[in-house]
Amino acid sequence: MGEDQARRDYVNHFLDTATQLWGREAVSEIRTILERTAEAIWALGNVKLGPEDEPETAPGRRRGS
Amino acid sequence: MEPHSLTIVEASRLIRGGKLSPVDLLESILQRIEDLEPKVEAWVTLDPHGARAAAEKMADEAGQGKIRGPLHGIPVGLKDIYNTAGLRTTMGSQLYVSHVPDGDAEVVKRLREAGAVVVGKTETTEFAYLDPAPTRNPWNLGHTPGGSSSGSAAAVSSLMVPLAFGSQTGGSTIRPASYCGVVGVKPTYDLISREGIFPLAWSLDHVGLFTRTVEDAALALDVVAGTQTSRVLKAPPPRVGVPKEFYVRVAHDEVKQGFDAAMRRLEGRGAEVVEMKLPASFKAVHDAHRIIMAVEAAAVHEKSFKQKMAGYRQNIRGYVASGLLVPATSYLQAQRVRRRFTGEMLAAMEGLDCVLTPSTTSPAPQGLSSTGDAAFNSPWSLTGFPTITVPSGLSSLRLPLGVQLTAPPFEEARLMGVARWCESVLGPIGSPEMQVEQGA
Repeated sequence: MGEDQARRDYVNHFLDTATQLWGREAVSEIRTILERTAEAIWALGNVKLGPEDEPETAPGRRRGS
Repeated sequence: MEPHSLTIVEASRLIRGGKLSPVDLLESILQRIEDLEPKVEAWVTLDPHGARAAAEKMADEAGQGKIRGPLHGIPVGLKDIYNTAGLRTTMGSQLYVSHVPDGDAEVVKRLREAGAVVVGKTETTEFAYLDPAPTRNPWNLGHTPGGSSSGSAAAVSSLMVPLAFGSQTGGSTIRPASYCGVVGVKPTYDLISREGIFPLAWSLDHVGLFTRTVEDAALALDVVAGTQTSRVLKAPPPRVGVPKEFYVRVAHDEVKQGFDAAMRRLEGRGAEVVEMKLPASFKAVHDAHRIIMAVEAAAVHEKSFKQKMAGYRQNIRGYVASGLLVPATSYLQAQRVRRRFTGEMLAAMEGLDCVLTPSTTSPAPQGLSSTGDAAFNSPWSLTGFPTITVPSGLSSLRLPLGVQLTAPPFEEARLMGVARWCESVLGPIGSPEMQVEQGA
């Protein structure tokens, strides 16, 4: 399965979950927003990070040099 | 000069010298609002009674020689997500249309203690996200003022108040400030208390402020943040980094041309402009910002959303819904990207005074259905670095353009000094007053 198809499958899975929760009509009104969020999740999943890359827990706390 | 058109520095000097009463200043402001509000729609709630009582108290104190500081008797507007004791605070939402807080937000307390006069509450997009307020851009009433701090930016731009407060989670201070041709400051994350301000996304929310000059912004920042930036505003020509990759593919041609012209003027007066490379992690920054904001907004609204989903307008409804579906691991992945980008940007900024970019992708877009694009602002909301926008010129349609300066965290003094220097080189862009009076 190509990368693009996998991404589309993920977006569709995201929309299906939303439809189960809120119904087809409600989802149709916010479909574009849901799609963009699903695309962002997919893209972030492809960012290569190592075990040393910890999550931010205190934004703005690191002073400049 | 009418009192309503005075900057904070000018009004403060006159009040201190006994040549202007805070009461007269307020009455001029209220008249200005009465004249222009039907066109601009910057205010949700005005509080003339409370403002007059505060102005009279400040006038009495000034008459006795007691001046609390540079904001003594200065009228101020507050975005309608700031709690104000006894004064309606709606968050721009029909769900809070009758909400009246018991107490003031911490910023409001500090402003009142410093002698500022709260005029009222300014329009915001719903819950400070994207569903637009009715506010119009004073430079051209057919264009958006930007958002989410729409009313605060428009009120300062149209000389209704010399100072207004907003917030920024993506680009909600820098973007409307630039669209409306005023100075906007988003300080370092948590430099200013967010207590009593309705959250959109806790780890991204910043207090923001709007003025007409950098010096005014420094004075206001010092009052609410306890900094001393206004004492060190004289800076030599700076060394600024320009990351072309940040803007070149996204910015409209007119923005690029205006930015290049501004850079040439800064260089001509002695600034050293250095082309800088962005770290590889920049490519994931907007996705990371989107996921963090969606998840945190979903957490803020989860309980209410389950009961009142239909009460949310379309954009915030979609955003909260999408945030409720984001896997926990994706949220953490976004926070990991955030940390890497922040560290890599700090390293890239070494040896520079600031990073310089255009403030927005375009001049204020036509129409009121969108508040514009925050793409040039959200990276700095993600890192928490302090930013400021300074007007840099006008587009072919006479809409304001701005330059955005960014410094490492807690370097507000450096940032304000460089901004003041840039302001002095780029010069004033004038006022939208004529356009508003002509009903353009």
